[in-house]
Amino acid sequence: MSLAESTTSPTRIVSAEGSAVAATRVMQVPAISWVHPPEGFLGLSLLNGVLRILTLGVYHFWGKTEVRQRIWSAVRIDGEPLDYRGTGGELFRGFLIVFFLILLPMLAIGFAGALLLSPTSPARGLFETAFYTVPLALTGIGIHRARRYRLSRTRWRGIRGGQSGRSWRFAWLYLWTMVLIPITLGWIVPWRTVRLQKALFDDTRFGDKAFTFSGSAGPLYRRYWLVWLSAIVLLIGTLVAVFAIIGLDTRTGVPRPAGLTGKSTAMSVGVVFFALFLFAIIRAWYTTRVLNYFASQTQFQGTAFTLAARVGSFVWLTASNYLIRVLSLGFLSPIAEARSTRYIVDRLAIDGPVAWSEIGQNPDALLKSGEGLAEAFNVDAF
Amino acid sequence: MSTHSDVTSFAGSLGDGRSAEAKPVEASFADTGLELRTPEGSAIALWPYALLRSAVPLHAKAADVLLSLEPEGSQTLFVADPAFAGQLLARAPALSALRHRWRGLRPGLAVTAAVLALVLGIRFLEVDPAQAVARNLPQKSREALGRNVVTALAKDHKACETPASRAALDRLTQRLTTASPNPMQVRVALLDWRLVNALAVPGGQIVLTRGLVQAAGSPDEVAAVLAHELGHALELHPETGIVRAMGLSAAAQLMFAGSAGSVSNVGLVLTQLRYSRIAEREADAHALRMLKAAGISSKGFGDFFERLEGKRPASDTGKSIPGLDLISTHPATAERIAMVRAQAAYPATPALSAEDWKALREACGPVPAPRPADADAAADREIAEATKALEKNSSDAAALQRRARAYAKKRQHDQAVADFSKAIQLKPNDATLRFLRGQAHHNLRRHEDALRDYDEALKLEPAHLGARNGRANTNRAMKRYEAALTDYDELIRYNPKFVAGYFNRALVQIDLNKPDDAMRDLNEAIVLDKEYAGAYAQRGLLHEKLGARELAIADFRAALAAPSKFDSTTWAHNTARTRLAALGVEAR
Repeated sequence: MSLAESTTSPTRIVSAEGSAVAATRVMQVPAISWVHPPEGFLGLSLLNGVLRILTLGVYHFWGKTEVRQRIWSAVRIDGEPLDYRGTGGELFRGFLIVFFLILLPMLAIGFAGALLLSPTSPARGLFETAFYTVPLALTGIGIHRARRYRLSRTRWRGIRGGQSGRSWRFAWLYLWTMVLIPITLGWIVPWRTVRLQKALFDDTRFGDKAFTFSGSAGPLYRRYWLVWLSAIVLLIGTLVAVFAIIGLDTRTGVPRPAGLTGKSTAMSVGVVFFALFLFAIIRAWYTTRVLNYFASQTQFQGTAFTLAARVGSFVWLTASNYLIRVLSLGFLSPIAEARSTRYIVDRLAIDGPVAWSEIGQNPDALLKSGEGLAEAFNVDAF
Repeated sequence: MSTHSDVTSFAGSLGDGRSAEAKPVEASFADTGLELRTPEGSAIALWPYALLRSAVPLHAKAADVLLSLEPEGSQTLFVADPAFAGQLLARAPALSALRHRWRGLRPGLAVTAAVLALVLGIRFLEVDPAQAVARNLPQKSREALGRNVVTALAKDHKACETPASRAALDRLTQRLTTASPNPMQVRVALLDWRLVNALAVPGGQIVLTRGLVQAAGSPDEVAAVLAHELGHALELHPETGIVRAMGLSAAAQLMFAGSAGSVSNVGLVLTQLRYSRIAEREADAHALRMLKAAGISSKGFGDFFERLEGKRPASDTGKSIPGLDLISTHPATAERIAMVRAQAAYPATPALSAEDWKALREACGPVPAPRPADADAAADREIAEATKALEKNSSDAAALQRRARAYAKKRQHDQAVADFSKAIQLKPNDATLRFLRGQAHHNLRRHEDALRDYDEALKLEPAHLGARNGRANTNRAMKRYEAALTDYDELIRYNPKFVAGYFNRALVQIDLNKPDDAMRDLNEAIVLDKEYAGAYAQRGLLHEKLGARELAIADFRAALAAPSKFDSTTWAHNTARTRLAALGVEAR
């Protein structure tokens, strides 16, 4: 078999002998690519929507699984697809467990507390604080477990991915750093993002080999300060501009109702949208930096990754995906999911060669059920 | 694709599941499975078709295929050849997208069928799971539930209670509940709330609003509404409603995978509405039974529904309380009125004595005077009736007088003068008719004409209090203070208990800037009638002018507390409120 015959991957070089005991092996840098499925995602999205309605929502989990199968298999490493092995039944089971063990008791406790505790009693305040903290704590667990489920159901050449580490440990980090966000007026955000990323990626596996993440928060702060500052400047600037358009009553300092004409309202809305647009661009300038930096700090088998996300394309992706989701009432969100994945895959490269032969099967036991918590609290691990 | 002598074979890459390394293989279709060989032709394995799994549900036109071998699934075969999928599907049809989706659809269809069966079962067997749960709630938690609802309501609306109103309400409740076959512990509270409403809350608590008690035309109407709410309490409808709301929202969460949205909310509301209509009918049946057993006429029931249909306050819908839609009574329907009206008559006594009824109506303070619109409507009716009488007999002086007074009430004084004049032609010696026309002239500011009529009336009947008072008022309006004072003095001499005389004379004293004399007259008026709002308000103004702040506040408060008795009451209440606000104190 010659090189020219290897239709599966143009960049791969296999040993001429093709036997298990190859003497010399030429290692090539693996290629990551997106091969768009010929069926696309529109038909599948609509079919899933219809079947979901017909089954009172139950098909949701099976539909979601087929979408993932299609997205995963469009992602090619050295020309061979990722293989999503999760099932609708697993997701459904996970949801039922969370529903009956967590959601339903919470619903009942919430009702009982709201009805049985007097609205003015201190016990009610305590109860409400606890009631809103529990979902926050569970969100961390949900993110971790969902990621563990997805990685364990992802294979390439039959080799499983994986996520080790304890969910509650991640949930605790997630919770206490979140509490610090308002206390630090948001300044902890980049540091927190790095901590969470490290907690997740240091425990990420492909086969029996681990990923490592060596990023620090410093490079992120070099862009974050502008996000933070622009948020405040744009907020004040927008208020000033809107008040200038509408006009203030000099005596009371509140907007004059008489200033609200059709023209001034349109101008005010325009100013607000312009400010939001500016902020979205600055925000994307930061987010693309985070993504690219994280890729460069993630290593597998001694080689790092390169991601080339750009501000313009990222803003376009975010805005268009938002519109797709909203305008289709969520029915076309598989298209948005596929576009997001493709955005990363198209711009991601592995820096150096990987010795595939050195990677053995992942020995971790499999989770029995799917990502119920993440489903229940609307979180999605990236 | 390379071709061996007779079998088509496809080039692929094989992962053995032990490392991420791949080996090139040739795959060909045998009868029982997929045959894998090395490129050199030596056999590696046979993968039975039944154990194959495709990474994606397979279409015949797929560009490439990723297979794995079940049950372990670690060994994979990737074939990037567009011809492979079609041939594979012909031998392993279970891999097709259609079959795959059908397998995924079966659990959903089973759940749908189960839910449908459950819903139909509940409908046909008429079992109510929510009610069963509600019946088993301990009384203590029911009461706690109810207390919280009442606490939430009482934040915005204070409870109204006087010892007399409490006793009246207790007597009425007692009368209705002791007649019930299974007596229950209930507490009835009256809230200072303008909205016409009544609701039963969990734990046997019933809330009536001031709006309801004051809109009711008779104690029988309040008794009927209370009996209806007692019916709800007896059937545990409030508790059932809360349990049902919980159950339905849990079901919606389940159905929409934890993200129940607005679509499911519409369904919830519709479902609850159906149940609440059944509940209203049950409560009505209980109410009619209770009223009959207590010997209270059920006519009040129908009256109240009709009143609600006639004048439902559209603007004041009140605050909605989650879970309580179901508990509040719903708009009366023709069907409900018809059911009440169909009751056979039975011996009945009023639901409350006159004193109890007054105590209940005034528990939140004096009842406001009927709105002008209502008074106008009443006047219109009188005019229509009198006109009909006059069509039969155009010289019916009494009808003319009635119509003229109705016109006067509507402030159409010209028509009033015309009718009074006709009546005077028919009865030229009637002093009252002259007096009434004088009033009409006075209101039209034709003071000279008014004076002529009053003079004539007093000539016919020198002791006519109204005419003398009227002449004095007109003289005061014309600033002829001496003439006015002479008449007021005369008036009070005739009848020392004529309170309005003192009040009116005080007004002249104030005009003449004689505060001491005015104060004496106002004191006298208040001694004669402790509920003279106008006198209190006027004295309050006087006190305020003289710098006696505390006395002024006390008078304004007394004015507000006084009921509507005289023409000046509205003025008095408004003045008292404004002045109290200006003085920076609360009404009470």
